[in-house]
Amino acid sequence: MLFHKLDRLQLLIVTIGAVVGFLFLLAVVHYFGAIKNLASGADSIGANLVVAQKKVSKYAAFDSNNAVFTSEDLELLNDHPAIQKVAPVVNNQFYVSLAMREEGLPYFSTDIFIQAVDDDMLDLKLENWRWDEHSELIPLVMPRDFMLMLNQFAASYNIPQVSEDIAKTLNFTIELRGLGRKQSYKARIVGFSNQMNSVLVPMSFMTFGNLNFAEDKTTAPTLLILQLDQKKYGDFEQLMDDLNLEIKENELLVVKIQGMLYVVLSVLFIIALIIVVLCGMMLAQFSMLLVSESAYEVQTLLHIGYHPKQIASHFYHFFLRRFALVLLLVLALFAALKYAIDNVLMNFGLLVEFWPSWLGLLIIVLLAWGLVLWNYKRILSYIAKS
Amino acid sequence: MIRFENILPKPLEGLHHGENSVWERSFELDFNNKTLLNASSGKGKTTFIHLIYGLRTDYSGQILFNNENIQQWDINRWTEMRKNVYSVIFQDLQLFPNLSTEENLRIKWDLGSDLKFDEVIEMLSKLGLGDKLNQSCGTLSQGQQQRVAIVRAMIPKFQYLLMDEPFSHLDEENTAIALELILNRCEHLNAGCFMTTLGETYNNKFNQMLYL
Repeated sequence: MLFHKLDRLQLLIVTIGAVVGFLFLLAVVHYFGAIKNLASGADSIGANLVVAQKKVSKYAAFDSNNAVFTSEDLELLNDHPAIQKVAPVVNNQFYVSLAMREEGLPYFSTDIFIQAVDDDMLDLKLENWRWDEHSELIPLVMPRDFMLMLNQFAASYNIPQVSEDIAKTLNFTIELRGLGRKQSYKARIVGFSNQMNSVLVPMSFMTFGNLNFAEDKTTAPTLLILQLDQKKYGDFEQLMDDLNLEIKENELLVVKIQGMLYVVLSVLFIIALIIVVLCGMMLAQFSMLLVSESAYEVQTLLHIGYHPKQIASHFYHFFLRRFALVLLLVLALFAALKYAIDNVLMNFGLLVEFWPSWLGLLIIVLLAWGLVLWNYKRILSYIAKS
Repeated sequence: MIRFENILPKPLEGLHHGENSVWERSFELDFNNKTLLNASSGKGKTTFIHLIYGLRTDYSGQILFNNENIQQWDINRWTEMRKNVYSVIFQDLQLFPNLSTEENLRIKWDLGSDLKFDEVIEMLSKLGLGDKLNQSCGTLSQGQQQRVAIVRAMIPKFQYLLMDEPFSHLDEENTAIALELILNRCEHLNAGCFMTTLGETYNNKFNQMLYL
């Protein structure tokens, strides 16, 4: 009765506008999340982190102080807007060797260099990354190159090669030496890193080692882990030149790509929001037209005892059903769009999350519901005044 | 009970009103009474009903419902009054022409009634429209539509029934049946009623007479 003068063409335009706007919004939020995770997951070092050291020139190669970060350098880095966090990498000041003695495998032993960083710079569960003097095992994060070395070693003895998962089950022994003392500990691999070239141990273990086995207990850091703000990457490049810093080129590439994609997606996000706002305005205009064209029916319902809320709720449910349909359509189109985009990304070797972003879904559901609710309030106010 | 204190609609200001006229006088409408408002065309009968029913507020003076000034009421209070206290037969009927007779009646019945819907259909049949249930109201004759409007007004459990020339398109026989239906329903609900008329007295079945 209230919808007999419904303009189907106008309704179709509002529906298409809503589908386009919400589809854009869902896609943008989803790929925002995907880009954020681009550099994480595969590495035990957290996302947006780079390992920085000072460039060593051939003239300064013999001056060990040239590679050290001074307190002024650290202060400058800490205060820089492009850097969210600075964490020094602490080195061992004592002798460390790593040995593997597993049944069926040849004995393997090597001197190693270990390092430690703040726990919150690592993408590891804390229960795996904890050590105190009563712990049975020392957790280790190995450079991925170690796997290469281990498998070359395995090949030369004609034994099967090991995967990262199998490597995590192997038992190692770490021996610390210094100040005339010697102590062995059991160790196990809990993660791998492309960014670190040394074996990482918990900071508590490093502190314990340097305190009990090192002669020189005070050294300035030569390596830093920096957490970057991708949006201010240009500023960071300038700082690198000023401080004579160098970081791995592939780390830079990921940060650069992320920064660029963030800009593109931010623009698309704004466009999607504008489409949704325009769709909301069209919805409001369409609704008012619909109500005013049903003015006789609305007035008569009021005259025979219907409350404005009862009448407005008919419009609310009508648009709620329509927007539920819009969201279903958006999900179906998004699935198709995502399938096409993900295929392209996979050709570049990038794996994107299968499920759509929950945040994206939440945003479009809340926005759609908000639009319908706002429209209901306007209709209610219009009816109550009539 | 409704009390009127010197009521005069703005459009009637400056016009001469007779001594018996309800305009610019103070009087009461008792909900136990059956009141007839008698006047010729153009004197403001419909306006008077619209004032009571809250459809017009352009008047001077005061209308008090149980000592409450009805001009202070908001939409919530008016909805409650139209749903639970008043029932009305409009002169222009105010049916939904695109809906069937049954749908028109159900819309009112959905708001609440002491009657079963079968009893509503029975009333419709008494008025000779039992076979028009599924017919669109817009295609019924004026007299038939008036009878649908009468039945619709009988549906709620009202305290006071307002009727604006409810038999203007009915013949004598249908008028008599409709009047009996209305008075029986009022008696059953222990409700009062108020009817405007162009001069008919309906065999003195009303116990209060007002003029404009």
